[in-house]
Amino acid sequence: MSSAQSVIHYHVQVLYSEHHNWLKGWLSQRLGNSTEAADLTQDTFLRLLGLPSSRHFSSSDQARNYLRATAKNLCIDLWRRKEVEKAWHDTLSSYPEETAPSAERQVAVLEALEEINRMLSELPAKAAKAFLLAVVCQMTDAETASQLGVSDRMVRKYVAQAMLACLKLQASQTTRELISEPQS
Amino acid sequence: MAEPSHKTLEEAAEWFAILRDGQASNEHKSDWRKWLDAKPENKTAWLYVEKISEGFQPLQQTPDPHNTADNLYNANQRLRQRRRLLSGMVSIAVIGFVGHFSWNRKWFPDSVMALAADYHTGVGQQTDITLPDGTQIWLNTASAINVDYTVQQRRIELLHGEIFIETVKDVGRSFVVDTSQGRLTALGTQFNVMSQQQDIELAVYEGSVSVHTNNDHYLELQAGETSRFNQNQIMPKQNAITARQAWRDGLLVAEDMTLQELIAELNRYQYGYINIADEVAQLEVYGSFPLADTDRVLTMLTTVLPIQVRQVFPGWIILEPIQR
Repeated sequence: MSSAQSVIHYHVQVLYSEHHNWLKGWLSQRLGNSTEAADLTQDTFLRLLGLPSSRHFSSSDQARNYLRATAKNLCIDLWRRKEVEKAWHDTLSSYPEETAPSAERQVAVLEALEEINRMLSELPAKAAKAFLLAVVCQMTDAETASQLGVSDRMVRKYVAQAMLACLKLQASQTTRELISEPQS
Repeated sequence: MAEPSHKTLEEAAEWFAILRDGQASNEHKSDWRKWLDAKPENKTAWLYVEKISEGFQPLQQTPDPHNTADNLYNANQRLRQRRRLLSGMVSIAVIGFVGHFSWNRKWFPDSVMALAADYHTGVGQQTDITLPDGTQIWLNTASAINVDYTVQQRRIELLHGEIFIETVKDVGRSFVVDTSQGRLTALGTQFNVMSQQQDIELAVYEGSVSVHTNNDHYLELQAGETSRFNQNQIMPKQNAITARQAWRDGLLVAEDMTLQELIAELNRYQYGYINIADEVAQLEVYGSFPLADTDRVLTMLTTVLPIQVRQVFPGWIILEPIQR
């Protein structure tokens, strides 16, 4: 271990002993599940170890704000993964038994669900619905419009909004990979 | 290969929306060809669109795409709800000075009135107090209140700024909030009051609150309702935005917000001033932003929006379209 690394480990150890119980309590109060809270607490501190440089907090409040924000992000990621997995299971169970999809196909479905789910969370609920009907169900503008009770033009606006959200997500992912900035 | 500009991506997305159901007119199709050939940048953007729309295929090919779409929609709705729960609904105290700005320069004097108040916060500060009866009050940035509890009545005076109140039932004593424009009477409840220039904004999240303006206008708001008023009039009720309570968590949750509205909010939390160029003021913003870290918010915004940050001098920042 390099000396820089051991400094980081030291910082994280101090943070851990000071805030570990507090964070676990905070999470289990919100999640209503102490096992999940303990896991997320552990993950939050692991995340600190993964930071490229040691992070200094000038006060205990600042450290807690940071830990809380990190824990929240991890929590949302966890929920998202669970929700996507559920959607995936529900979708796979709609295949008739004799035409069960191959492993490759199953992975492709899961990846598509993940991508679209991420994009949908950037959209207002109505635009999300319009996008799903138009693009996933491949309905025409007119069919989608009559189902949602909006104009054809509005459907095109929603679909364009969704596609733009996909494009921007892709762009911001690329940017993030380029700077490889730690998420907080 | 140059990356397509935001405007080009927008155009490509619009073309996708026009062409994707195969019902487009020939005129549209030939216009699209012209657009595609006009600039190499357009072609690059269209390649991205094609790649993304290929990604939809596995779902289109599921046995029952309607079922697949429902599964996704429900997953997304549940996620939205849980997310709100995490960031807004649950009360936690943010105590002390949370602001930290690299260009921080204190050039606005604290209001003289605020210093004389029972409880007050400076710009960028938030605090949380518990009163003798268990009622909890959160003070947002640059806010001041007086507390006046007697045997008959519990009275809060909002001098300026924004507060969130969670009252505790007390059969013998009413709970009122006095503002410059009128009195609010609460019935076992959670609500938010903000004073902005001549207007007071009230949002009720639990129970109900009645408004009685100085000039005798009256309205009662139920949980989930919000309204603005001054002494002469009360605006019609609207739906309260749950995510707005997230300030107590140090978060600004933007849903259906323009960049202009977001920055106006942000300006309340810091001494410096952020100005926006007209061309980008109406861009839509979504997401959760840390109120205590303006630098970070600006970096987040420049990654997803076609804007750049220009610092004219310390404390004066302009958001403008990316220069090409």
